Amino acid sequence: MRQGRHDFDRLRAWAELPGAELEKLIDADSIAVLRRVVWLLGDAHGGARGTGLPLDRADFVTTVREMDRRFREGARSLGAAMVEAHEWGDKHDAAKARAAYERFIESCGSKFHRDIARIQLRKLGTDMRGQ
Amino acid sequence: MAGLAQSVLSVLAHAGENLARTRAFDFYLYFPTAGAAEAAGRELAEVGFRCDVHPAQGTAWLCLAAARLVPSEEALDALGHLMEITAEDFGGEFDGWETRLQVH
Repeated sequence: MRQGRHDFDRLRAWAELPGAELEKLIDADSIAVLRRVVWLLGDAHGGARGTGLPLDRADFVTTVREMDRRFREGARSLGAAMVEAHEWGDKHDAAKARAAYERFIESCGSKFHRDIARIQLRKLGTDMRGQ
Repeated sequence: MAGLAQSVLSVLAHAGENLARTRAFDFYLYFPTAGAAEAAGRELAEVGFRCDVHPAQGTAWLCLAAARLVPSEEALDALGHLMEITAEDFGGEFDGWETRLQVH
C-alpha cells in the first residue's frame, strides 16, 4: 500500500497538467507507475488490467484523467461510508454500521478503496464489541 | 502524510489510548476566501462531516471538518486524500488532522 501512496501522489500531480505537458512525461517509468495505479483503482470486474482501458503511450493522457476521476470518486465515497458507519457505531447499531461499508464495497470499482473499507469493517467489529 | 499518521497513532498507543474505539478527529483546511472555505465545507458536509468556517491567521479562512472514526493508518490516509482533493478543488490547502488524548 505504501507504493500505492507514492503512485497516487504522482497521479494527482499529472492530472493537474494539460494534455500537451502530460504527453512529454510519457516514458517507461511513468507507464509503469500508471499501470500500478490502474491495478489499484481498476474495476474488479473489468479484466486483467481492471479498467478495460488499453495502456500505452497513445492512451496515457486518457488513462490519467480516468484514474484521477476514479481516485476522487473513491476517496469521496469511502469518506461518506466511513462517516456513516461510525455514526451508526456511535448509536450502537452494528448492523447498519456494517451495512454502510458493505454497500460501499459492493458498489465501488476501486480495489484500493474497497481494501481500506474491508480493513475498517474488521476494525469496526472490534470497536462494537469493545463498547 | 502517510508516515505521519502511523507515527501519531503509535504515540497514541504508547499513551495508552485505545485505538480500537471510535474517537473524534478534526481536519484542517485553509482557503484564501470565506466563499471557498464555505464551498469546501458544503461539499464535505454532503459526505457527512460537520464543518465550521472561521477566519484564520492573516487573510486565510479555516474550514474545520469533524468526524468520529476508528483510527487506522489506512482510514486517515483515505480521508487525507479526500481532504487534499477538496482543498485543491477550491484553491486551498489541507493542513492535517488532530485528535485529542482522552483522559482516563
